[in-house]
Amino acid sequence: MKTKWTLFGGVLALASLTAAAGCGSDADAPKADANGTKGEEKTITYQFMRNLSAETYPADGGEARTEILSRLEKAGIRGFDYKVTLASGDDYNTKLNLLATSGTLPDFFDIDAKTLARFVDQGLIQPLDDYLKQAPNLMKVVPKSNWDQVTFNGKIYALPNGKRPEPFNLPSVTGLVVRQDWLDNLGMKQPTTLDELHEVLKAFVTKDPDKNGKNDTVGLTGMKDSSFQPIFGAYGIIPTFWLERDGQIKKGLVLPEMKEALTLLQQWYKEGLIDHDFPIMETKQMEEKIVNSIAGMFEGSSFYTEKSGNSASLALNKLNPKSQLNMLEAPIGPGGKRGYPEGNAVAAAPLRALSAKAPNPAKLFEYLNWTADTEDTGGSMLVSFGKEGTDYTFDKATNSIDLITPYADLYKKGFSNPIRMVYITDRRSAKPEIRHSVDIVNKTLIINQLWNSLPAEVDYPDLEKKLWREYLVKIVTGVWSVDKYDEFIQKYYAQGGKEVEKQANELWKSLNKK
Amino acid sequence: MSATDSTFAAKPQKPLVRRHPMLKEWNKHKYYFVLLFPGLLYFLLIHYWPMYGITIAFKDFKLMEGITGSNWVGLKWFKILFAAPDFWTALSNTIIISFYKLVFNFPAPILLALLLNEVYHSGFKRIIQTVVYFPHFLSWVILGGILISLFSTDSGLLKLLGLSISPLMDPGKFRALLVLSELWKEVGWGTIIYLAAIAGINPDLYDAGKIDGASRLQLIRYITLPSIASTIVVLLILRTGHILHVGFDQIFILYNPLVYSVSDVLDTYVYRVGITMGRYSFATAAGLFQSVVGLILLLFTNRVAKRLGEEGLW
Amino acid sequence: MDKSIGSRFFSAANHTFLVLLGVMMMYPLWREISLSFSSKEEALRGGLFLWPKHFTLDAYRSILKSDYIWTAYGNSLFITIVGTVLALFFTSCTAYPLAKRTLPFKKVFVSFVLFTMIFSGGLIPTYLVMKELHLINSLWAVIVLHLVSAFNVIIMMNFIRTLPEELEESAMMDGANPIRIFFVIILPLCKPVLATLALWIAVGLWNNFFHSFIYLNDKSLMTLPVLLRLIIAGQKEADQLGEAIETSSESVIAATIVISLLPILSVYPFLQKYFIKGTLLGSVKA
Repeated sequence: MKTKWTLFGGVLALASLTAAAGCGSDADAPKADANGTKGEEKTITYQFMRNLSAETYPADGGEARTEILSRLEKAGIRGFDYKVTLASGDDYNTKLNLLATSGTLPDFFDIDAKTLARFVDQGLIQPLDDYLKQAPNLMKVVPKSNWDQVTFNGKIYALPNGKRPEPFNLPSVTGLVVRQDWLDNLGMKQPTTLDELHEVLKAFVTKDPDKNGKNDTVGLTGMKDSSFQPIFGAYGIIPTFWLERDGQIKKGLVLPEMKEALTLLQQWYKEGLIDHDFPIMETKQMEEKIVNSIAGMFEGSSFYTEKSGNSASLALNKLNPKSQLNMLEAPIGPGGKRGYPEGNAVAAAPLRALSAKAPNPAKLFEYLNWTADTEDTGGSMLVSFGKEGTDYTFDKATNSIDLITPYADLYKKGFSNPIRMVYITDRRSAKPEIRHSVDIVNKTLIINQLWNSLPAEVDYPDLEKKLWREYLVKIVTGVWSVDKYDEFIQKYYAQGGKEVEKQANELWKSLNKK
Repeated sequence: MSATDSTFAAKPQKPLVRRHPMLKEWNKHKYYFVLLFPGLLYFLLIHYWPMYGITIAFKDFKLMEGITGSNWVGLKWFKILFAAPDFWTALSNTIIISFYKLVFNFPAPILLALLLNEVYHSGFKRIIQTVVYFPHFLSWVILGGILISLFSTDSGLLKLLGLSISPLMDPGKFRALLVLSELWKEVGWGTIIYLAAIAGINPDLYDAGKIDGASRLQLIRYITLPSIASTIVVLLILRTGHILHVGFDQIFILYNPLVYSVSDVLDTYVYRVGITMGRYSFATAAGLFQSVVGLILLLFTNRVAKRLGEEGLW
Repeated sequence: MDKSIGSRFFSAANHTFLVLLGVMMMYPLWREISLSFSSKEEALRGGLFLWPKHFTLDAYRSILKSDYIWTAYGNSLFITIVGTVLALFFTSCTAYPLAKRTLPFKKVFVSFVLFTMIFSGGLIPTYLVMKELHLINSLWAVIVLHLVSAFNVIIMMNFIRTLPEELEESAMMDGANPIRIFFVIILPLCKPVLATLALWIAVGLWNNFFHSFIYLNDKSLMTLPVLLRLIIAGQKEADQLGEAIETSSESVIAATIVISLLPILSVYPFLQKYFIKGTLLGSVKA
């Protein structure tokens, strides 16, 4: 019959097409090379996946892989090899979910806190407790409190980042950054209270701080996501933090201090001290205002305070060599309170999770332990910065590292971030100005009582992402009066905030019992 | 199978005569079926096979258990969806914005194609034709950045337009901005299909029209437009199928807390509440809702088109 | 040609309008081109960029030094060319029978195709099906996913319906079978719509980021949009990590856009000749 024939022919044609297409795809992992195989021990190639955009990282792992494998051998770790896949951006999670549901998760991979909770719940990853017992270096570099966010039902399910002991490696780096040269031009000193801050901003807007004869300056700039944390901090709260009140924890955004701070912000916006366009600006537009010497103050990281710290400060310095960005101390509010938000210690790098199907995890942890070893025989420095002498130099006296090979080239050789499966915050290569700014930020911090993400927050993500943003921005810009904030608190609790608060308190109490 | 075979074997002669009209139809069209077959197979394999995934909307989908292994939860996700007040705001915003875009941005490429068609100088025509489709290739991130600079408070454009507040921050003007900026990006790209349709018109018709002394406007009215009418209708019908998808990238990049109330649409809502939270079941349920509404509207438009004497989709 | 005053006035107004429109449409791309040739500080300052400021080729240098750019170009070209040719072939084969008004069960077949435009299984099941078909980590994955789309089939079907039926009938009288008629008579008449679809499909394939990102893992299979996204994201990450590098992300982003758009933008002028009014039918009749 003719129909049958065509059907068969079509299937055949399609099958041959797919078969041909499938051909090239099996040459996945590099086969064990001479480095690893010794005697009866079989080399395992571990699949790593990182959420990172290191476009220059070579497909075969580059010279770094050869070097690391030979150093491992010297350290007595045999039968280990690795292959890194890099994928980056918002779509990383999509890819991770697809790999998970098709049963092809990599062995050890980057994961964020919310996805981690889901993966634990669904049994896709395995607890690390047993392997960590054999990894003293990991236990040493990861601060105790960092484990809390990755512990579920008493078991550790991910490896959080560690940090070196120096104070400049602390996680909090963000504060109010000011144009020091403008302050100098105006003969003003650094503001320490909200009132002084008010005076400075006023002068920045009205007194032509850049002496260009034009009325073109803005006081405090910001962007879409800005929440004016240092101002709230002066009232003792950070809106998105859990704060302790009478033996309970509550989100800052439901506390009575909110209204005082909002009143002040609304007043400042009305006076023109806060950038009028902040609700529509992205980082890019904010940086344009910094680079163009239009903004006098903004919330930013310590890296801005050194001229080569990031591309915006670099450009500003090139265009205007006299410019100087400094970190301010957190301003003091009317009640004597102050503080910058504590940085999430675990947010410095993505978490790392171990697939439930990973082969022989003990060997993997032997390797991870080696990469966390800061002694000469260990791999920490090699993995992070390449070879001493050729890629970096270390000065013991100032405890600083000078990179010879820039990052893009380190990636090309196969070192640094693409293969840092244990992330240790190490800012010894940062300039003294940056270290100083980090010190200032860390002087006065408002502490978040609970960093863990809660199941209810997954059910009601719009509470903070949308509801709160809408009230904040509309009140600050004066579209709504401050009184309207009562309505927000009502809505917040009605639309799921109650559940979030309940879960938060339960978890907080259970964590504090220990 | 064997049972049917034996029945065939038992009555060898007569059925053949009775099946004759069918066979005739088949013989007449067999070559068409041969052409059609690979495409149908493709749709079956690549589009219909994955459709079992729609069941995710009625399940509590877990990555580990997979689509078939996850538990059934009935209409749970639909109930959650319909109970959320934000969903209804998003739905009404979607309908309003979609309607505006349909009314203004659907006819615009037709108009532009007609204007381009009236240009006799072919070099000029080619240049304009090429240039107008450029913005289509730039992402909303880029165009959004330009819009933000153009409409910042201290830009000259606001004063020129006599506005005191940026349309990006003004709930009264934000939707107009969405419609106009989409027009800017897509109108040129949209003309291509109409230019192709115009190119297919038999030139004899124009010659005949000119001999009858028709003016340019009359030629457009009585020859060009009727000749591309079926293309317009088909595109309109197809478009109504996507009525609840209203341009995620554009809105996601341009909206902000000051205009959430007028611009949060289903796609942005589902993205925030479903996709970024890994709630695939929720997102699938919302998507299914959008599809069903789209299908109903598409069938409705197709019927209306046929009533009006057009051929429609079938 | 009609030379009345009204007609002349109309032409003048039309030309003026189109020039203004052209300028408006040209601006965003022109701004990106100017930005890509500007120094990094100037690029970071933002603004209108009617012209490059502090002309430099740094941004292009930093992209072109990538080891993978030519691999990515090659892969993208392969996907686009092979994908477009195959897609045109299968789309027109599917569309032609559906345009035949006498085809039995035509309504069923059209509905069958149309349904896939509105309903889809979603990302996860599609991925699993692609895995069953052994298409993960193969450039064919992207091609297969863009092979036939319901939208294109219906557009093509509609175009074929507008062709005069007498052509086909007379050929049928001469004893040609429909497949022959399709390739010899119908397809050449479809040049305008084929050109349109070719453009749509080619642009879709060339710019496709998501499928390449999801289905391709090996670096040797990287496509241009994926590579460019990596370069851009890499610059931003470096900035956040305090690892500032010697080019600003803004000018590099602009340069990546220019580099990726040039090939695809140059396709259209070549296709334009198929849009010239009336030449097709005329030639067939002659």
